[in-house]
Amino acid sequence: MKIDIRKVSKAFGYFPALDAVDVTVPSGELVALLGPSGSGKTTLLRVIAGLETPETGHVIFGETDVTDHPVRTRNVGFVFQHYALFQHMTVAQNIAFGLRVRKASRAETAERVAELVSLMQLDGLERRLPSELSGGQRQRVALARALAPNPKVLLLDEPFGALDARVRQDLRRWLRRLHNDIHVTTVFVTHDQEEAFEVADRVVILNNGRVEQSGAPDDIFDHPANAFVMDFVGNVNVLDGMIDHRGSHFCGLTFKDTYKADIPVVAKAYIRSGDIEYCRSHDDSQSTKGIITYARRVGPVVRTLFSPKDSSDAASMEVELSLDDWRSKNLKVGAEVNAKVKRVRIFPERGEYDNISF
Amino acid sequence: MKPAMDMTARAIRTNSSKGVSDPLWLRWGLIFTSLCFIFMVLILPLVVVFQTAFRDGVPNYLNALMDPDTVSAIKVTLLAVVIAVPLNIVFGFAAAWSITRFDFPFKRFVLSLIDVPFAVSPVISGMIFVLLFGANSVIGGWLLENGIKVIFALPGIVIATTFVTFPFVARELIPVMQSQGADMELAALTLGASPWQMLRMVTLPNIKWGLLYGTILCTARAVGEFGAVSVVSGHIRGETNTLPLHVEVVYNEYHFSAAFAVATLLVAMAFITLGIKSVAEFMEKSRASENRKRTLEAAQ
Amino acid sequence: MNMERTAQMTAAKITVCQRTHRNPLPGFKLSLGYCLAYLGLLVLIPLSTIVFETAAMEWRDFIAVVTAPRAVAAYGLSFLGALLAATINCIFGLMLAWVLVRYNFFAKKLIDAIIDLPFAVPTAVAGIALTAVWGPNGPLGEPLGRAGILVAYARLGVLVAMVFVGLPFVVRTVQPVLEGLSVDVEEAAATLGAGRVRTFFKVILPHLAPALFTGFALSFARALGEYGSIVFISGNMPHRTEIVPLLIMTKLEQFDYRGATALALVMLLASFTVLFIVNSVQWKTKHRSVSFANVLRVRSFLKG
Repeated sequence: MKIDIRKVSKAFGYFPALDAVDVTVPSGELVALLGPSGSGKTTLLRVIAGLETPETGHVIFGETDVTDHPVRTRNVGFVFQHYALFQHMTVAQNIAFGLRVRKASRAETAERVAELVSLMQLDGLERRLPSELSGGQRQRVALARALAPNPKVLLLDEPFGALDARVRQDLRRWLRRLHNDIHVTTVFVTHDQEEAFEVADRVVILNNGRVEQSGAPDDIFDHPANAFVMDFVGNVNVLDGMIDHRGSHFCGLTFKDTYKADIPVVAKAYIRSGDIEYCRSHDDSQSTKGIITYARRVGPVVRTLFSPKDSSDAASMEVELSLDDWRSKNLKVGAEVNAKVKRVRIFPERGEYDNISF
Repeated sequence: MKPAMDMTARAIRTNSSKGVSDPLWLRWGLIFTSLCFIFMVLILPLVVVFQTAFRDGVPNYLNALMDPDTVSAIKVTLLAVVIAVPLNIVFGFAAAWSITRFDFPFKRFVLSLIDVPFAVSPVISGMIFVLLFGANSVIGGWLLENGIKVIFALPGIVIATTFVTFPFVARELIPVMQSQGADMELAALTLGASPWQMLRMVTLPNIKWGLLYGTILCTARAVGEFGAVSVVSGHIRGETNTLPLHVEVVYNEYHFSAAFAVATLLVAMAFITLGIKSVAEFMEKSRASENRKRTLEAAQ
Repeated sequence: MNMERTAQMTAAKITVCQRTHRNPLPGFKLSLGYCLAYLGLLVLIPLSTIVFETAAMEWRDFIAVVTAPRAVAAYGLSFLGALLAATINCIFGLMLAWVLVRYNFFAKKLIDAIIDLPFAVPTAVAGIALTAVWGPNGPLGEPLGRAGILVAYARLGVLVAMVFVGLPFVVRTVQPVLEGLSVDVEEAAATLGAGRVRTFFKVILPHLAPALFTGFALSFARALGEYGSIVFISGNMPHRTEIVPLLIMTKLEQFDYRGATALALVMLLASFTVLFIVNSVQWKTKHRSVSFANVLRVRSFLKG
């Protein structure tokens, strides 16, 4: 079931939570709503579910405008952030709830519960109370409960937010596989870009109640629409500088093949920490001399801080490289090296931007 | 799991930590003084109630309870309870539901209004209904003309009882429902439950102990109310006397053992109230600790 | 940019038919309607009679009634008695809470449950039971009487009844705060070389102060309004052992509704002031959420 969100606005008091949001969720896809806290992502999810009423705009499921339909007739599966399992019911009773209220027959209910229990790998836990389950198990019960009445769409609010890192990893992949199996249109909310990019077919990035960009994960990563998206989806260094008639200049780095401006313009350069390379020799203007001021190995990568020599202020850049690279180049803290920028995005103060690879 | 263990460790430490434990003499001194105080102020009066009630033997005790006036007082009391308590249960739930689940202006004012019967003297609680329904008032006069007597009659007793007992259920439910939040109810709605199904299958089972306890407190107070009912009842023996008023009447006629015999009924009710309170609190506590455990686990 | 957006939003608000916020939970109108109708009929309208009744009085009459010597004597007894009873309850209530939270002893659970007895026992029963205990022939009244101390049918009796009805308030407000008091703080004080006495007065007592104050105020308000238990034990002598609620009752029995209302107004103002002070103190303290919840719990016990 395709979901269309058209010009949806909603304010809490004077705080605009959603501001003329347009989003389309194609049928059968798994879409992530990604954004910092207060970006309106949870509000949008609740609007889709019918838990919040938009002030203007429409929510359309398939061909039906459901904006004025109450929650209970929308047939959505909603997984709450803290699961909201019924504390006084067993796992099986929780899963059966949606069928019981629809007056499904006993046999039918039992069959569906058994099916979901095995799909969610909850075997043996049917008679436990929610308080006797681990966080990951509760999450799966909440999912099973939401799926039991065969919802048209599945909505998940920060599905992995309350779990520890290990369980979160497992559940993410498991959710991806589950979605591949059942193919119900799914929207989930997260503030963790890694999570969104790993699980979703499409990512919608929200900020201040507006959609900043939406598209396939690779697309967003490679072609961020604006400075916010660039900043939000990767580990980036932001350098202050300017553009003049010779090119753009940032902390001792000059990029000739980019903008030129007759009247100098203030600009910002965005460089991902993985897009900088250390080399011993100074070859061209896209590299700059400096000192490695800090290095820390984190598993297979080394995270370093690099201080350009020519920069007037104490600006330093984060540079991430592989352990092999670090070792083969014989680098260490305090070493004088050249940092070569492989890819940079420049955003002049006003509007336009450029994307260059070298 | 770890924070939970920390908490247990701390709980154990409370009683045994060397750095902060009180010397033995102080410990036992305080315990002894407390027990003496409790005995003098709380226990001894109850012992005296039973002792005096049975002073003239069991037959006299039973006679006092079988007395037609006692039976009629029990009937009047039960009538007040049967009308006031259900009304107040519905009010308590309606108030808690609207206050904890919705936003509306003047919420604090509504909360303060619920506290009014706690803040005013029971004599004043009775008085306002005398002013409202008394023979001299507009409403009271009109009702009397139409043959309805409120003050110094059963309706007055019922109304006064309802007034002094209405906050109990609401006050029990508001904190419980506030801390539970609306997520379970919203979940029920997303799963397709009708309002009635949501209420029956999700809301009520989750507040049952608070509801039970509030109802018990409300009932106990409705049975035991003295001041307010005393103002409106007119003390007509065998007609408008509730149990506590009957105790007063018999006591003032110097039938002490009979008065205490009737009082034992009320004390028994008090014990039942405390018993149910302990059970309800225990259930709430174990539930709360489960919730805490759950959030701790979830936080990891 | 932001200005632009706000302008757009406003435009959208004006042009498009706006839906009002709708909470998906059912029953708002029904429950709030019942709740407000109930409060209006049962509380607001009856309470307003006090205002109307007083408004019909001449100012001079009103002053004459509320400053009559008999009334002034009753205020003195009610207010001083309630103050004294609340103070006694603070001392013993703090001790009881301390003993119940910090020590283990035989029948502790039972004692804990018994604390609530004054909430559960009807006041009339409490009245006759206390009179029997402290009266001239009672187990405590007799020895005291021989020593020349009269409790029942004297002002001391009023105090005993007030202590009885107010005790649970202090215990039940202090107890949870004491339970929540981290031992770490005390241990820290101990490692810094503070003695037990010093730790108690410098560390523990300040922490308990808001709860203790709340307990004091609730106990005071309850003692001030108490009627049932006091009428039996006090002897009800005008100017000597007559409390304000009893004086109101007497006036009502004489069909002097105006006089009763005037005195009730004085009482109401006093108890609302107390509650107001309690609430403002609660709002100021950091532990507001904790102690407010306690007050809710405790108030739900309150008996008149």
